[in-house]
Amino acid sequence: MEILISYLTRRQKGGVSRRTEERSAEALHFGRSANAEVYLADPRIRFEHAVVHQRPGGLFIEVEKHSDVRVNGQPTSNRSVIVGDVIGIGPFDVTLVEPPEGKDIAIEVELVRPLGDDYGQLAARSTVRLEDYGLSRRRWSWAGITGILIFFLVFPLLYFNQHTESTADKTVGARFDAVWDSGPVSSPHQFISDQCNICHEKPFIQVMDSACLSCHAPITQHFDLARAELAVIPQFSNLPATTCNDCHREHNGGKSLSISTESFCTDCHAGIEKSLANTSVKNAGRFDQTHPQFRPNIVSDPASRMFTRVSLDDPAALTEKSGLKFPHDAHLKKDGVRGPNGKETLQCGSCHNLTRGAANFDPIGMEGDCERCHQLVFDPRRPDRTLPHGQANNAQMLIREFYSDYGLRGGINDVQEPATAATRRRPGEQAPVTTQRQSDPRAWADQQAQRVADMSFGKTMCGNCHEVSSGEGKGPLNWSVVPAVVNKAWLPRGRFDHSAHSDMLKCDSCHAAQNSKQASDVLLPKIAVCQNCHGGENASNKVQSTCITCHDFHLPGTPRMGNTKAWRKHTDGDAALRDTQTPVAGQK
Amino acid sequence: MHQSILVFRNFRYLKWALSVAAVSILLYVVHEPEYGLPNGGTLLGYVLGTFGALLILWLMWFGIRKRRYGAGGAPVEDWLSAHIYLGLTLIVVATLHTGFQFGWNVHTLAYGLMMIVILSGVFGLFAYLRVPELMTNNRRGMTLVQMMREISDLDTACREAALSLGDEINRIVLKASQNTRIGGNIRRQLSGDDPECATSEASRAVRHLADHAPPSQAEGFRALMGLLARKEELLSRARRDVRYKALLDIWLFFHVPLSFALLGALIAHIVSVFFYW
Repeated sequence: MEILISYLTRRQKGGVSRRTEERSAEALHFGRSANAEVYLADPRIRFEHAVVHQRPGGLFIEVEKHSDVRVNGQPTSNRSVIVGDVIGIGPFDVTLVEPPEGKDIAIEVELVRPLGDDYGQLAARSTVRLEDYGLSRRRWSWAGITGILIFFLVFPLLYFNQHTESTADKTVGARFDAVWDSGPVSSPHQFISDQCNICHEKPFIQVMDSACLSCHAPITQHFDLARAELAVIPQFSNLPATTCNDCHREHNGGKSLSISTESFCTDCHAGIEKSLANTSVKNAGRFDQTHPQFRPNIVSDPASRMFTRVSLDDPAALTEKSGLKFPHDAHLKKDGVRGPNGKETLQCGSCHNLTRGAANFDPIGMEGDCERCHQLVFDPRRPDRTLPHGQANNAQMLIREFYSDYGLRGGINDVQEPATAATRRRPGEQAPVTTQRQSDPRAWADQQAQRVADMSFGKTMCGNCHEVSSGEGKGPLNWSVVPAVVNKAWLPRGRFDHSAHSDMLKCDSCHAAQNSKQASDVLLPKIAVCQNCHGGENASNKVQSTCITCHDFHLPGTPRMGNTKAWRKHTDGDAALRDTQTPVAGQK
Repeated sequence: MHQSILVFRNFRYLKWALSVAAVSILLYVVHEPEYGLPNGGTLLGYVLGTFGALLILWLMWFGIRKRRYGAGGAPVEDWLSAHIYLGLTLIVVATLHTGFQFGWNVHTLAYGLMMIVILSGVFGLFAYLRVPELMTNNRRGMTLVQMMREISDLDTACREAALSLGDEINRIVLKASQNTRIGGNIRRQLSGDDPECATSEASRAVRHLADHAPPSQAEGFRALMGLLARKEELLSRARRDVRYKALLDIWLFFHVPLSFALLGALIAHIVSVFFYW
């Protein structure tokens, strides 16, 4: 058959260019094959794409398997076609047109879907810049700063306002200002750690003393600010303006807000003797180097309860005049002492009782400690009768009354007992007491009472342990006892926890009681004994101990802390408390 | 003569930075906090905090300064060198300001953001010192656009070379030219590779088909394989180029936005500290 093929190309400016070919062939082959009558140079075209035959009934298109062929837009396989049909072969449109004279078939071929611009398509597919993938520095910057400010500034500020209205509000989400928490509060304050405004009363104002004093109202000063002579020390003049949080800084965790820095004390105390001309306070520095020897408060006169501070380095003056006679060594004899139930060996703890949890020992007393062995039985024939302890006059009266009673009633089987009294009477018979007959028993009773009193007060009982004196008019039987003053705390300004030490040490590790013969011995270890284990603030081979390990800043007996307005507000109308000043008992 | 920004002016700003760090450390060691532990609220804490905050503002000002081409004062090279060294000093200043107290709060958030910003800056510094040379070597005088133009030309050439070959080859080659891409998502750009590269797949497939091709098509296959190999080589260079560019850019997407997040956290930090003084 004779074929006329027109290749159409549309120009960019409009119009169509046409290239025609004439062929003579058995069939009309479409494809990339060089033998095809219609050579379609496109990778989307198969080598042999389709064939159009002329058959008796007309034109018939035969489509190669899987080839992309459409007739008038409809995908198709083998079928007949007629003039006017548009056959889509891959990206080409092939239109069957009326063949001119002498031709059996005429077609127009046009590439309607070209592959296009390779570079443009490659560039469109490729993403070669991070910005092109949605990254934006500007957008992210705005998001970052606004997000952070909203969550970490605005929300907490909003919560602060809510918080003042309802301090008990602990609901989750309402606590946005938790993100402002600059660190854990100390454990004593943990229980209020989620209620910021208990301490932070006003925004942008440092925590005020009023917040602290609302709980810690009774806190006392370090000294009496009214003592003008102290003003020569510069730090003293600063104290009235000092606020609680100048020293006590919260939000650093830990167990305490107290300052443990040595220099806090030693800034003044290292040279305090120079600063204050007449002070009795000694210079004190690092504990294991420049701390002064202990100066216990010892009893210098029991009668007037006078105490004096004496250095342990001054043995001549170191005599505690407690009014007692007590040899520790005799009591602590290794082979024992006589007890109510035979021999027994005493330990320190037999008398010195340390109640668990208490820092100091229970006070020693006759009752409970001494009287188990030292019973005040004045007449061995009547061991059930004892003298009242601590009542010297009463005891003498009791002795006299005891023997008077015997003188009158008899019954004590003494060869010297008055005969009258010794005379037995028949039952029901009234004793014939006459003045004449009375005189003998009274003399006997007086003589007996004085003899027993002299023995008891002078030697066997009172005078055994107490300073006693005798003389006309000193008591009913001319005896008096110097009142004992048992020292409760040799170092009242130093804190010492016996409980904390008893786990490691024995009593005699520090106290030389085994060899003490006198009650006047001050059985306090010298500072060197403490320094064996305790060093200064930064000691590397000893227990690190600073001033407040043993001493307090807020001293008992000084006025109430704080001289600021806030403090005054709290203590106005509470003048008695503020002016309280109790000196340490009897201290010079 | 080009001089590395690190060596700039005979390490002038390194010396500044070391001085600042040394003074901060010295003060920290000597300073005894009035009371309690070292923290941002001591005298030295306030000093270091104020200095650190001002330093942050100054470091951020670099972003503005570097865009002011006509600005007077020190040249932008000075600014960059100082930005780098003093930025690193901030690690010392801010860490000492914290007194090593950290927690889950806005204060440590600010510190953490600052550290990330600094670390991203360190990454950027190393990228700027190392990558440009690699980039130049990789480009061999071509730009990325030139490489992509040549790749497109190779696509056309491949398709033409395939026309005389089988349908399967044409399908493969067409797919390679239509599906090959350079770059892509952030990970792909940074990897400099494309494990699903259509051209690599095509190249493998064509090699496989060439083994079974009739001798008459040998010449056509050889030509096609040569073109595909050249295209693959260009593609891998183009992707490496994208990777280098991404390395030069990626850190700034952290450095800049996190700097602003840090600025927000810094404001919140300062306000909160004095709000709850």
